[in-house]
Amino acid sequence: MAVKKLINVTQIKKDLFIPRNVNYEESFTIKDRITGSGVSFSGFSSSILTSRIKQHPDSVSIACTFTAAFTDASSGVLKLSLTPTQTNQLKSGRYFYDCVVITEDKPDADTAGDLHIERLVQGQVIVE
Amino acid sequence: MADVTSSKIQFDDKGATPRYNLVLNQHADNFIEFSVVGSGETTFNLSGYAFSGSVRKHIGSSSTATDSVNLGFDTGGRAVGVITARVTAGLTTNFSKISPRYTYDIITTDNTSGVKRKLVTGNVNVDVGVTKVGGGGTDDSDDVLGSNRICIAVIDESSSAGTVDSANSASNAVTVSEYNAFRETFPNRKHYILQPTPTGIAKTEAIMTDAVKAVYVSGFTDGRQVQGVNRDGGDASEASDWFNIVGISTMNITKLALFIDTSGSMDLNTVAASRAKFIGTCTANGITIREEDNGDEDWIEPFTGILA
Repeated sequence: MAVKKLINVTQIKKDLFIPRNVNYEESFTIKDRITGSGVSFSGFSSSILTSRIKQHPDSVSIACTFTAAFTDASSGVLKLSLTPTQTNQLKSGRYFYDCVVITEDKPDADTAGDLHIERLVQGQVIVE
Repeated sequence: MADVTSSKIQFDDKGATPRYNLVLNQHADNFIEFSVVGSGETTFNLSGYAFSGSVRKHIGSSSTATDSVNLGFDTGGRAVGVITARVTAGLTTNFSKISPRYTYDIITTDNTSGVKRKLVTGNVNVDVGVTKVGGGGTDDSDDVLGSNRICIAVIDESSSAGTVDSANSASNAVTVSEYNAFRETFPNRKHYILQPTPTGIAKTEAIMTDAVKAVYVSGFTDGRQVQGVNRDGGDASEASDWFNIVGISTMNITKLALFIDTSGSMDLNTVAASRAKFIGTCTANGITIREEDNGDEDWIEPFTGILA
């Protein structure tokens, strides 16, 4: 069985404007570059989304971490969210963020799988 | 998932090399699918070809760890003229943000004639990344993959013959390459083997070959590679204290991964009392157990993936 990979996925580039001291959430639909339909993430053995905000892309420190989760994995819909506490901890200004998915697919149940890390969303964050 | 202006490239005898520029993501794997067609855009069967390629700082530069990233290939679709190139450098690509332009090419070799030709070439621009996830302790924040996870395998043997060695074709033993692949990807995962035996004394030769013994790094730091434990058969009075044997009380952890062999020579009932005691102690100490499985008496595979 061939190992599943994410190929021809349209990477979303979007800047986010985040007010302080409130809940914030943003949803994205990851689409196939050729067909235009939502990409299914449900066929992998395992997958994890993770998303960081940094002052600069190469910063060692992290300004904040989005809670990232699929709301409809089979259609490629994911959501990034922050709590009021998190948005309050961000100082006003410009930041950078991206969201990557780590996928694991195993040829069969007893064979080690292949781990892939792929970027789905990226852009700047403006904290108002 | 890199951008490519067009994935269709023509491959014929006219000698011209198509150029396609790529945008690759830093700190990520990048897959680029090329559809190869012959002259007149006819289907081109690439079954008789091998592929090689590299990403370099500039044409002619020497390959170094910092300015060159290898291209790997998935050739499963080559009978219909499709190859997928994967930009690889371990788990993540580590391009320099300071000077993010590179060049790449892909070379084909005709397996029959040995003739080499350049299939495609172009520039690579690197899109810098923010989130950095790595199995080798390069993660820039919380342990997303479980790269530092404590891994405990409870297994009595890796061969129905009782001893694993190269002459034993029935052996399911972990190979050196499998072990090294695990170690390379997750160098910070501490691995422990607990072996239920009738005497409670370990018999390492039933678990790993001499070759694996030579490279295996146990989480035990006192020279033990395999620790014998009881086959309790569900009798609480015979239960082994896995928690203390591994020394978890001295570790500042909230999660661990556990694999118990259920391939036949043992099953969950063989160590039911020890397992119950372990789960209870972990729960009492606020430690979440991620239980993994494997039906091939393989004590590495359960720990080779995401253990978040």
